[in-house]
Amino acid sequence: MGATKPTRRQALALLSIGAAGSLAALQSGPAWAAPQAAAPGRLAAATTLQAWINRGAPQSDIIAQLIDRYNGEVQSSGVQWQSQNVGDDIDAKLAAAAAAGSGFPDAYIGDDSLAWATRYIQSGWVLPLNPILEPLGFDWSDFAPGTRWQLNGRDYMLNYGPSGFLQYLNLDHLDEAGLDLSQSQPDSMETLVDWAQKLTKRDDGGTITRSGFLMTGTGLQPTVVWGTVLQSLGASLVGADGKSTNFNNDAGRQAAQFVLDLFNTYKVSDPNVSNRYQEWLTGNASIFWSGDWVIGSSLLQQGLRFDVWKMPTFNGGRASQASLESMMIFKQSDQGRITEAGKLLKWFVAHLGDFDATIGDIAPTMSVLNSAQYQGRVANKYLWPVQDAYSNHYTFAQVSHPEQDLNYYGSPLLQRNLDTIWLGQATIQQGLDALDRDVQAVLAKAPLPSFTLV
Amino acid sequence: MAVARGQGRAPRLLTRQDRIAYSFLLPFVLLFVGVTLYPFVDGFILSFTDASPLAPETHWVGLDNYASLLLHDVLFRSSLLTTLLYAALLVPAQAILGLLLAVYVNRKLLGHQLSRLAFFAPFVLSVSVVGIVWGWILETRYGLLNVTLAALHLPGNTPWLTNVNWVIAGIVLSSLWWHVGFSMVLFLAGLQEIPSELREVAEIDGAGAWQVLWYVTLPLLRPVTVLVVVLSLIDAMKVFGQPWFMTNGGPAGASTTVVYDLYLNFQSLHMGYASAIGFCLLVIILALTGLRSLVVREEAV
Repeated sequence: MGATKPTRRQALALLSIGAAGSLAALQSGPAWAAPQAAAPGRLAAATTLQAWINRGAPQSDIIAQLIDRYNGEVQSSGVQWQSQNVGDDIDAKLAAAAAAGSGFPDAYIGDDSLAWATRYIQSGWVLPLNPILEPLGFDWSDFAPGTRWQLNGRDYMLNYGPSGFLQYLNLDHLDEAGLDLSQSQPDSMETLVDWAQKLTKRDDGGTITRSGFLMTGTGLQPTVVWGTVLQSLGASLVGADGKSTNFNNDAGRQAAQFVLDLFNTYKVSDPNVSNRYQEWLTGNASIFWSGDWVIGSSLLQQGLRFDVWKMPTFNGGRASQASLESMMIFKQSDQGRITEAGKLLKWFVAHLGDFDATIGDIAPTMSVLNSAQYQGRVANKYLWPVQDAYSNHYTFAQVSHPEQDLNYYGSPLLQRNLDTIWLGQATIQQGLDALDRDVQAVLAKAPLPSFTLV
Repeated sequence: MAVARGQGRAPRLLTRQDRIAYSFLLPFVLLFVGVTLYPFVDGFILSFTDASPLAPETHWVGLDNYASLLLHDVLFRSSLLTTLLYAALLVPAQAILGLLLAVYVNRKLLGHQLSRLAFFAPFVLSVSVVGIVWGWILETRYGLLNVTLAALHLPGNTPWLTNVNWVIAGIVLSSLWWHVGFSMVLFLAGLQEIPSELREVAEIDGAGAWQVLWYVTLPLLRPVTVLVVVLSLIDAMKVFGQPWFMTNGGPAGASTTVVYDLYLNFQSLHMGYASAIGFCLLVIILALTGLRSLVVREEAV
C-alpha cells in the first residue's frame, strides 16, 4: 500500500502555515531597525513634513493654528507642515515607526518630554538640537535660568512651557470658612493642614463629604504627595549617582506618614475618592495639587472661582514638580527635513508670546516674560507664585528611565507598591522596602540618566 | 481491483470548477495569512527573543521569557489570579442571568419586545463608554448604585472601585450589565428551537413550571449553555478595557489583569516578553475551554 497523499484541504492548510512560517523565519536581523543615517542633500521642493502634537485642548489647537500660520509664511519655499494629534499612544506610534524604519515625525511638540523621552534620546532617535539650531542663528541666551535640561552638555528638548505644581484653592469654600488668601496662605505643612481641616465637611456619621485636601485613596495622587514631601525633605526616588535609591530613609517614612495622616489623623482627605478631577470640578474638594496646565485646560474653561498658591514647605524645604513641555526633532534620512524642523522650532520660539498669551503655560524666554502681552494675559495672575520656582531652584524634574517609568506622576510600579501603604495592607517600612527592591532591580538594568538644569 | 505495489492513484488535475473555487478562496487566504497567521507565527517567534525597538539587536533567549514569567514574575502571577477570579465571578453570573432574561423575554409578556431591546442595548456600546459611565455609577459617595442602595435602606457605602476586596466585584457588575444581553440572545435562540410540544407533554404529565425548566428546557439548552460559557470565559480572560478606564489596574494592582500586564510590558517596549505573556494566556484559555469537554457532555438530549 502506498503512502497516503494529503487531501486538498490538508494541502491548503499546510501551505498557509508554511507560508506564514517562512515569512516569519525569513526576517533577518533585528525586528526594529534604528533610523537610517542622514544623507546629505537639500530638501526636495514641495515637501510635506509631519509635526506631532501631544497636548490637550486648548493648547493643541493653538499649536496647530501656529503651524498653519508658519505654513502661510513659508508657502513660497514649497515646504508645508501637517500637524497630527498623537495623544497617549505616542509610544506605540514611535515603536511602529522604529519597526518600519520610517515614519518618525519631523518635529514633536508635546508635553513633558523629559518624563518619557529619555529612552528615545539614548536610542538615538531624538537628535541633539544644538548643531541644528545654532547654524540657524538660534538665541539660547533668551531662555530664563532653569528652563533648559541638558544631557551630556547637549539640548535634546526645546522647552516652550515649563510647568510647576501649584496648590489650587476653591474661593467659595475659603469664603465659607472665613479664610482670606490675601491675608494668609497655606505656605507650610502646618498651615495647609489647618486650612484643610477648616475646609473639610463631614456628615453626621463622620464620613467626609467634602475633602479639605483632595487626594484619591490610591494611585497617582497620594504618590505625588509622597514624592513632593520626599523631595521637600531633601531626598529623592533615585540618588544623585543614578544607581541607588534615596527614599528608604527617614524622609521617605516621614513623607508616607504625612499621606497617611491626611487620611487617618487629620481626616481631611476622603480615601474613597477615585477621580480627583471629578471631585474638584463638582465642588467636592477645596484644595488640591496639580500642574499649572490645569488652569488653561480645566479651570478657566469651567469658569470656576478659584485661586492658586505655591507649594507648601515641609520642615523648611519647598519642592515643586516641574515638567517641561518641549519640542524635539527626530532622526530622518534626509538632512533637509531636519533643517526644516529646526526652522519651525526657531520660528515657534520666536512667536511664543502668541502661544503663551492665550493659555496657561509659563513662558521660558525673557523676551516673552517681560512683554506687556504676556504680563497682561488672564492666566498670568495665577502663575506668578510658580515663576520663582525655577529661579529659586525648588523645582525637580521627573526624568524617565529607559526600562521602566519611575515618575511620581504615573508610574505603575510606584503606585502598586505605595498603594499597599495607603490601604493599610502593609506598614510604611514594608511598603518602602518592597518599592526599594523593585526600583533597585530597575536601576540594576541601567542607571538613571543625569540631566543638568541650565 | 487490487492496486499493484508501488502504484498510487493517478494525480487528479484541477478542473475548471476547482480553479474557480480556489480563486474565490484566494483573497481570504491571503488576508488570513497576512493579517492573522503571519502575526501569530511571528509573535510566537518573538516570544523567544528579547526584542525591543530600543535595542540595536534582537537576541534569541529561548525559554527565558517563559521561565521568568512563570517562576519569577510576581505581577504576572497576581494578574493571572485576578483574571481567574474575575472569570469565576462573571461567567456563571452571565450564564444564569442571561438564561433568566431569555426565559422572561420568551414568555412574550406585555413589553417583551422593548425588554429584549433594553437588555441587549448595552452590548453595542464601546468599552470606553461602559468604563467611564460605570466609573461614575460605582463612585462610593454619590454613585448611582450606592445612592440607590441607601435609598432602599441597604448598605450604601461600598467602596466598589477603591477597595482591593471589592474592586473586582465592581468591574464584574459593569461587565455583566454590558454583556448579559448577548448571552440572553443566544439563550433566546436556543429556547425558540425547543419544540413547544415537549413542554406541553410535560405539563400534561403534571410538571410545574420549574420542573419543566429543570427537566426539559435546560437539558435541551445544553449546547447553547456550553457556547455561552465558552464565549464568556474567553472574553473574561481577555479583559482589559474596564480596568483601564475604571481603575488603572488599582488599587494596589488589585484589578491588574493579564492583558493589562501585557499592555504595560508593550508600553515599556519589552516586545519579546509581552509576546510571551500573550502566548501564555493563549495556552491558559485553551486549557480552560478544553476542560469543558471533561465536565459537560455537549450533545443535545
